[in-house]
Amino acid sequence: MPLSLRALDTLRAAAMLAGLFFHAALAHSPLVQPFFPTADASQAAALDLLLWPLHLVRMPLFFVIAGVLAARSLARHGMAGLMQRRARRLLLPLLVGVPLLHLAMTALIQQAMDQVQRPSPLLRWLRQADELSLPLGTGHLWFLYYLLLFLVLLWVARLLLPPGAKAWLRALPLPVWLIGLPLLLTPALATVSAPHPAPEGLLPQFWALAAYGAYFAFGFLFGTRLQQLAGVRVLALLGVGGGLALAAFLALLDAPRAQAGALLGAVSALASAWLTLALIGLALRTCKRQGPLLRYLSEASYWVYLVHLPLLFALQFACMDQPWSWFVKLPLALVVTLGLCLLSYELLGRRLLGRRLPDQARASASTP
Amino acid sequence: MSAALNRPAIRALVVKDWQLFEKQLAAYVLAGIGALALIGHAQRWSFYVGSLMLIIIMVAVACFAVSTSLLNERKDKTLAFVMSLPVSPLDFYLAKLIGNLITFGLPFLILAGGAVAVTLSTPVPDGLITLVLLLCAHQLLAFCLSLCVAMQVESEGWNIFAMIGSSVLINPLMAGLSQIPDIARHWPTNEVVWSWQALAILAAQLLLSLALLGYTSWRHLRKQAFY
Repeated sequence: MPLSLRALDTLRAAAMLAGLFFHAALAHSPLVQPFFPTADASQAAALDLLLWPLHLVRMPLFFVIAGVLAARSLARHGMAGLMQRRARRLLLPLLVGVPLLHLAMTALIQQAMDQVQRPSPLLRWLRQADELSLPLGTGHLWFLYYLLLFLVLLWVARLLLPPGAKAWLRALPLPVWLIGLPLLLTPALATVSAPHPAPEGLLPQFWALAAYGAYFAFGFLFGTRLQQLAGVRVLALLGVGGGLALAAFLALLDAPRAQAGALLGAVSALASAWLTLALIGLALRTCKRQGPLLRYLSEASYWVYLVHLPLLFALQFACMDQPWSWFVKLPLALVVTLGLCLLSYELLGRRLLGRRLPDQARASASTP
Repeated sequence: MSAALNRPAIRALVVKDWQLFEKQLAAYVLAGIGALALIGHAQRWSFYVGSLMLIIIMVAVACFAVSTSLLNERKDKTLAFVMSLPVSPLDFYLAKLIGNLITFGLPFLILAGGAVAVTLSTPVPDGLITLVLLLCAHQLLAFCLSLCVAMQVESEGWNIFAMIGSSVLINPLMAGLSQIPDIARHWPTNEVVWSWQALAILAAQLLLSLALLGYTSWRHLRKQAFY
């Protein structure tokens, strides 16, 4: 596998596993305590300083990498081949996963409502309702839905955009992207709640199409020139600029907001865009090798991400009544969930997702 | 029958139709995604604009598929060229049938799926799902009728009449459904109730669609020549 793809593969796996940490840590985040089902009595304000920066870059990384790999697959297999591969890798898990996830989440929350003695505020509120009726949505698999939408929009763009426009987009230099991405993201993030939500509904959301679509488009159009992000000057610029924007974001985000507004939207956009690109540059610069453990985790990470949430919630509901500190509960939830996910990967996931592909094919496989 | 079919030629004709109409299809799909996103925007104005767009696109797709692949080709006299190919009238018919079903079916499924999603995942009452599915089934029936007429009747006037007439019938259908209390009284509620009347109408729409396609196929199976 070429060095740049190895670096992106490692980054993708890290982002997937960071997703597990993110969902586990939300139970102890004071910022979302009123409306997160597994919110625990033991809270840690310091975790918010880690969680929300992670939230700004985790999913954007997936979409950039998915864009890069979509461009490679398109060049190699054509549009029909790309669609066929993504249907197998994204559409099938989405169609199977969404109903299963909905049933599992409903059952878990119902059981927690019946049995937990020290319920979270949301569970307490749900208890007052006559009947539990969770809205049908894509849950944490929303990214599969959006990746499929972006592939359809890619097909549309290839057919409808004039060749001159396509060539112009492909030739956009890095400085234009560095300024353009935050500009595209600002209105999207300013119009939604802060911290920005996951677009889990069954209908496409304009803000998510714009925000994540911009990252996908960047990966697709700029993928062959990503090495430019690994330059010391660019990295320093992105790190300092993104860091300052992040500091402003954390300072402004004192409580959840129904609508972020222009200022918070702008600093979120700057921090998200610049830190995402900085992480890609850093990975390209530093991830030269992939040891056996990293390779295994990278291989299993997609499965882990698909199945982790019901397991994690079951565990967190089970521990909710325990008077332990978050310092015990969080690592416990992480280790046990990861262990169960890896076990299920060995027993089932490896067969369902297919054996490890040869490097070349794997490089072009979809990696949301 | 299958031994006589020239499958590669049928496939080539279907691919040809797909390639010819891919751009327009892409525009319909883009408009469909836009309409669904407008509905998902959760504002009153965007909901109405999006819903209207969705119905317009469904009607347009049904008319587009039939008019471009059959009526326009007839006007452009491409049949003479097709007759020079190693295909039988049945091969040509099957290619047109499959091509039309794909051209219409792809955006139709996306839009119908989106309409169902709108009903089930937004504050719109879930009980409306019966109306949504009956309207989608009507659009399917209208498409099958237009396709059937286009494949049998050469008159442009009759074809236009069939397309517009079948699509416009959506209004009396809505009015008629609202007059059936066992169907309409569940629309404002969150309970999805499939009364026997709703099921009977849906079954009739689907069976009639199949019957129209079956009848057209039967007629073409008996044809010995392109005319």
